[in-house]
Amino acid sequence: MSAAIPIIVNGVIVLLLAPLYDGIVRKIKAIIQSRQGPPITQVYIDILKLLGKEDLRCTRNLLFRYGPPAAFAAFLVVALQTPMGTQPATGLRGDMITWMYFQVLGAALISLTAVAAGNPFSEVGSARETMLMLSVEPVAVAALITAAVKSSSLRIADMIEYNLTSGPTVSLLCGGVAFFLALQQVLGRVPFDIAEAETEIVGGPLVEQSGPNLALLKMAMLIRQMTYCFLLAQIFVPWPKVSPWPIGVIVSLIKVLVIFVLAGVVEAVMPRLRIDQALKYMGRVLFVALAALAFAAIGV
Amino acid sequence: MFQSNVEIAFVILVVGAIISGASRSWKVSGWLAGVFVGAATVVAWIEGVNVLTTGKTVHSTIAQLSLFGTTLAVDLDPLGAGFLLLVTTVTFLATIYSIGYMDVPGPEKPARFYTPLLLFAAGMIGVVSVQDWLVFFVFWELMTLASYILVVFNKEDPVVQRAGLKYFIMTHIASVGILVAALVLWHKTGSFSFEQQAIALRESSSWLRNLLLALYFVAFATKAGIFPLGDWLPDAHPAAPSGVSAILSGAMIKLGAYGVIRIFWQMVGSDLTSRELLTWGVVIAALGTVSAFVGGVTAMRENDFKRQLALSSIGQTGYIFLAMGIGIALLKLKGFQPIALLALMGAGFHILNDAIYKSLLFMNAGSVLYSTGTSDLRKVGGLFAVMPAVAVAAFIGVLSLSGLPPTNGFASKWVIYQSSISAGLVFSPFLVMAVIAFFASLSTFAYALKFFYGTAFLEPPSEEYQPRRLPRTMTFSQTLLALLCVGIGLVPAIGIDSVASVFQMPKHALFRIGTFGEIATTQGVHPLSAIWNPIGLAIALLTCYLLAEWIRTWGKAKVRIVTNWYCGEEHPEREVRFRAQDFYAPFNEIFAKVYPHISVPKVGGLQKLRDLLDFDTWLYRPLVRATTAMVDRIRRSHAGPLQLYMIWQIAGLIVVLIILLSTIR
Repeated sequence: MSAAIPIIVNGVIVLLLAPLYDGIVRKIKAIIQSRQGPPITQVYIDILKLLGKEDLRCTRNLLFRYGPPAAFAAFLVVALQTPMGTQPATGLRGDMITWMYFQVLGAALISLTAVAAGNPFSEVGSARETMLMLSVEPVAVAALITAAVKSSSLRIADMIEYNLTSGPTVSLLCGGVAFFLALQQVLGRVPFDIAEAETEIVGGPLVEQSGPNLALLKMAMLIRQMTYCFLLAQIFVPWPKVSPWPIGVIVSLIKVLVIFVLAGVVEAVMPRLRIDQALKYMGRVLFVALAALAFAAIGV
Repeated sequence: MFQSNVEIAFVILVVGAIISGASRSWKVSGWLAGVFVGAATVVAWIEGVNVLTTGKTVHSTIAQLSLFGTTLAVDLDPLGAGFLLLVTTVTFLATIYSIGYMDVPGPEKPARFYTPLLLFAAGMIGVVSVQDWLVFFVFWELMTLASYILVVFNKEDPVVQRAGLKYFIMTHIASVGILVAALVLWHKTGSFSFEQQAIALRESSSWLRNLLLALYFVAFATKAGIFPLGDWLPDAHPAAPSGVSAILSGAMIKLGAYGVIRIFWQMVGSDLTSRELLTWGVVIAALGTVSAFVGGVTAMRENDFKRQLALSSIGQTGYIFLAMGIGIALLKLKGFQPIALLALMGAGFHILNDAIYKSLLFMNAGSVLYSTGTSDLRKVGGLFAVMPAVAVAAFIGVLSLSGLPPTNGFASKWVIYQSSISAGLVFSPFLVMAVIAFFASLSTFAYALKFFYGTAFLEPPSEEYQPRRLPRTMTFSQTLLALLCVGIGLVPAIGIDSVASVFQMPKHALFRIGTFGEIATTQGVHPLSAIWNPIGLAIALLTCYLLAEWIRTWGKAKVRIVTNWYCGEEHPEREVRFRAQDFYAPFNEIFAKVYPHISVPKVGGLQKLRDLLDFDTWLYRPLVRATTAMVDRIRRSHAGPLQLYMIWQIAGLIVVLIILLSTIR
């Protein structure tokens, strides 16, 4: 397989298909809530339109200007490291630790951009985002470590391979459940859209962003959502095994769509939680993840 | 005259301590100290690199006291050489930094600062280059004493006094452990040398051996600042002048780790049974994990940024101990030695990286303090515009502390996670430790990157003040350290290879360095396969960034400068600021019970326990008061009219004469 293929495949998926998936979810939510809803291309239109809007600068801070593209880049690198039906390119190979930390790098940059804006709303949003991250990432890491222990490898590709050939196992299923329960929060959807909370703190970290930078931030968040869903689908539900890679890509795309739709349904029927409730919820989910680790340790 | 360069470096420092103390001008003294430390650093590097490349121990005897079985000799092996390079380099940069920082207007003389600073450095050099416990103890005490004088530099401040006292007493009581253990073993062999005592330790009964090991461990862990023994650390580090904090955190507390490695890995590693090693290893790793967690969570609710950094030192030492513990635990388990070596590599690598970014961060904090005059996060802000170079350096520093790529902090955490997950295959609690360590690393991001960096450099200040510009010497040290952070982060092979030579591991035993700097675990040796391509990922990051910048230009958006938007109302910036202390309020509530607010419930009998835990009231203060009273009494015998002295002298003469006359006959 040529080195360029995985880069192109991943790039197309996260850059071109992510807005479509978000559009579909918005449509489904509207149907559940008996609304007409926007067309499924709405997210593309929003982003393209934002690129041409005025670039408002409320501060001369360099991070305010350069933070969003840098966050976009960090999440894109994470996406390129994730096997989405193909093997990642040689130069981009990494393991779950690099995956996780590049992911945190992106989140850190968004959070710092929000602080640099100097708006109290964005600061509240950024502090909440950080707290949510502190509660959700240990769950994801515990689930990934479970997979690492089972497959004796830290490389994501090896974990997928293991689960394909010798899965399903109790520990990996348990880890998958924990990962799924944490996913809603990573996606930043109701009931966990606490950091943005438009009706409460008017968009949190995004409040001072405008024009091209806002477009990039929105894209960065979409890339992050897509990547996380792919990781869940690939590591914990890798079946069925299909041979030519283009079919594999299509199968995983369908799986990810199912996850997106599930998340959308949850979003449509739930109210937003308070930050302390969300933290307690994640505390419980962590136990599921630790149970997965315990299962892996005893070898099931 | 001198047989080894270490002696030359030591003498340079002692002479420098005298000469730079002689001047009355702070600037002159500072430059003199800088030159002397620089010379000592160069000499130490020549020797250290020589030892590391050849792998041979440099030995030269200076004096022998066969009566006590002790030898004053330089014995620099690769382990000591590695720490020698670390200690001298950090001290050198911190001294250069101090030239600008120590801009003291008061009557204080420079001898009060530079003389102990150079002696401190001399003590540290001595500690790492001898292999005799008595001599080691002397240098160890020199180091502690000199650093105490530096910690209490602002002697008018009662908080500083208290912090210094706590530091002095805690580390002293702990280091007595080294002496006691050494004396017990000396009683058996009649020698203080590392080698002889190790043999004696091997031949002792099992309980005595472990008791002595515990004494050593407590002494070194206290110095390293591991929780709960490192209770002195969050008080002493902020109290000291920032250059000294950088040395304390970047170099001195690493010597605690040096001691533990020396004892457990080199002296008794092969003598203990695998069961003993496993127990010790698990205890050390568990203490490390708890430290990492406690350091991270408590730093999140601190409003003083120097205190925050001190707590982060507890946390980072926790990582080092976690890795060291794993290394010790698996040292003798059949088939798992590669994991042990990997963990030791992680510990060594993290010591190196932590020394670099922690001294950088203390210098950054010092720059903020220098510029604004306060270390309160609720007041500072907006320093990005005042000191852009330091702001960029500090950004790299906090990225590194949080362990984010592409900096060196990530490189060593990558190794530590690998080792703890693979050790989890053998002993599953290590898996949970890995998860906790990851959480702690995220909390590092929460307090360092956002809290400290965001507040001090990005946000507008909450009070009016005139920030001072920084002298060049301060910027120089910080820039250099920041470059080191990125350099090791992009080419971690340099760090891995040098740590391998410190531990005398064969090159590329653990990692295969591929084309373009790709690092992967060697197949078949290591139970977990891991891979990381630092340069490839950095290039990818840069390319993606350029892509993002290109996308930005699509719409040809116009730039307009606006003011902040507060939902349509107009407020002055200062009124609506989100105060730093509320950042993580909901989160801090969950962890409110964690250190340092140890709250014992108020049940009658437990009140006694509370009092018992308050060492200040029943131990430290009475001890100090008694000492002062005694000294005062002695002093009073000397303070008086001249005639009184004469009487004393005559009386003394008479006593001496009587004794002499009665004995001679």
